[in-house]
Amino acid sequence: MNLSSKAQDNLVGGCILSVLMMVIGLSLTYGPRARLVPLTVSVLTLTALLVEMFLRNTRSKNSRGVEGIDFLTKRGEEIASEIPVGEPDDAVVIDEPGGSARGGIGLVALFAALIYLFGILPATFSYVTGYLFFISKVGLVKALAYAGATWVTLYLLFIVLLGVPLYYGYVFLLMQ
Amino acid sequence: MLEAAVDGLLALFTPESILFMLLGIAFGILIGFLPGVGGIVAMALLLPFIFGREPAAAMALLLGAHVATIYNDAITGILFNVPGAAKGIALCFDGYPMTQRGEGARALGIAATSSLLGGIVGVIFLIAVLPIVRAIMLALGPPEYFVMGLWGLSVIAVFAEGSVLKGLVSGGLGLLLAFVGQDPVTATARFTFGRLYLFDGIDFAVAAIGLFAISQMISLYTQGGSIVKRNVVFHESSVWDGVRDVLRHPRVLTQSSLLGLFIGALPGIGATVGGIAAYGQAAQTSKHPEEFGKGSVEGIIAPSATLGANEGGGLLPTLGFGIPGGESSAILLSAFIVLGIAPGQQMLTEGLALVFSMIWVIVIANIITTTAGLFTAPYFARLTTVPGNRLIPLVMAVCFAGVYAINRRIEDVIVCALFGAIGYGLKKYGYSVAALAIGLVLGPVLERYLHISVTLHGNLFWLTRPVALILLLFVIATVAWPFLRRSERVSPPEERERVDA
Repeated sequence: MNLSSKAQDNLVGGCILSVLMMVIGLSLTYGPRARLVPLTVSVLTLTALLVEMFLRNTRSKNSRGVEGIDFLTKRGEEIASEIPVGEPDDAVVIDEPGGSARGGIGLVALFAALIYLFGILPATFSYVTGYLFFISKVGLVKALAYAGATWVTLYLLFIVLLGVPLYYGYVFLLMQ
Repeated sequence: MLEAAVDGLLALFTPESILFMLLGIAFGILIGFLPGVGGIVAMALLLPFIFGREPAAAMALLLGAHVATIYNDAITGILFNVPGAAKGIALCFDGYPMTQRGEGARALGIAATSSLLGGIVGVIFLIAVLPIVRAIMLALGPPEYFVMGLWGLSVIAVFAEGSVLKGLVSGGLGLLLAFVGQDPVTATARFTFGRLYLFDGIDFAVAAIGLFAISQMISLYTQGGSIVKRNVVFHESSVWDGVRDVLRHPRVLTQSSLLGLFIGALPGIGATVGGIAAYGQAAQTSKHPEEFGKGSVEGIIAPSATLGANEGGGLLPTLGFGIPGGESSAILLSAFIVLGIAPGQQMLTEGLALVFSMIWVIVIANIITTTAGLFTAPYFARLTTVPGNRLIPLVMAVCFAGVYAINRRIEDVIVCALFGAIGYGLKKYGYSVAALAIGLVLGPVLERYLHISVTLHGNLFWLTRPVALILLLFVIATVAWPFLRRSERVSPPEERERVDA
């Protein structure tokens, strides 16, 4: 589904609007002192959002046709355009092709899920190996070496130096 | 006082003190690289080692470690958009864009020099105000702290590039997120949905690492390539350019240092607010406010100098009243108890030599850290040319481990990942992540001091407290100043052209 950028903005605005409405609704259930500041802030924020949406939609700017909710569906390139890059003439290009935004968010979610299930150190080892091997196209031995080095670094810094027992994982807790 | 200053310095020239200071600095440098694990953790970990030590040596160990983390927070923040600690967040605003321009070494040079000079300026003024510290402290209370919080909030306007309203919405969302958890007055659980985890609220460091670091890794993944798109780090800018930049901006350096000293002295405000307030102050008084958020030199000088000076400021309430100026001062206070030192007026008279030892430690540790930082900055800056696909899993692994280490709660990892996705989405649709983070920091400060002020002084507290009123007028003036100046700059012919157009 192709959505104009204005429609995408409206969709995001709508999401924020519903969150704010929920916050206002919840705030009204609290006592007068507990709701004083959150209610005021949420009403002011809601006002700012409505004015912003109104102005955006009444402007005459044409919307450009782009894919719908593109951070979920489109291969990312727009954030790159925000970055001030210098003149290309003397550039030593070290770019690799980027992935989709959906993929990027998915990879973060996958790592968090692995940590939750298997604990920080095993998840880190498997994630770094997998990432380097499948996405970065690094050889398996090299990927394993990187992952091992990361594992050892985290172990030394957090467990030995800081004395923080890193999370063992839900699976480990189930096995106990 | 001069005699006490000399005695304080001499107390540090013992083998034990020198060794402890060097150990503290080395430990602080190492800890400073870990996201979310700042100087407070470094001090807390070193606390058991001060039993039975000379007070000067113990302070050398603790303060040496703490001061060393200040610059190291800057390294990860500037190069990877990963705030080492919550207080270093303002360094990401302009440090990271400068790195993306291929000027990472220069940005690190600015941060290191500003931090050093800020620390020294702060210490000089700290010495000057020592005799009148009690009078200054007593003139300030919750209404003044509330106004300081408002001042910090005014920074949101700086990030409202393109749409002021979107900036305000982001700031408002940040404030609302800050209200998750128990209400500070009635202890009502707000927006917790019955989850015990949310009763303590959302940890700012957890959210900040998600909003800045994780979202940046998603961006890096979608862009492809490395953080620096061109291999210009070693050709076009150097760390010494950064040093020169700082020397060219003495006004920003001095005003930010004094602000850092002042905010450090306010109990419960904290260095995070200080960094943000200094950033806003610099943006509002700059000749080039449009450069802020895009790699402005002043945008790095201001928070760095403030953080450098903040340590000296934090000593004021700790030494003068036994009230911690911030979390690090609270650990320092614990150290005093361990060493059998009683803070208060007596310490500022009879124990002045130890006070000066602490001041000297801040200065010497700053010099050592900055020197090391200046020489190592070019090598760190090279890391930004590492292809993103190699960097992303490593940075995420360190971030998630660091996030877990903050409170040892697995939910923090999930929340951090969630904030990463939210931060990415907000950036993509033009909502400022920095404004959201500012709201998140200032929300609890504003709410707490608003309630206390109303309870103590009534609804018109800002009128009945002269100092608060003066501060409020100052805040209004600093917020209005850029707009007034901008309107002055538009000359009548230009105005006519605009109307014609």
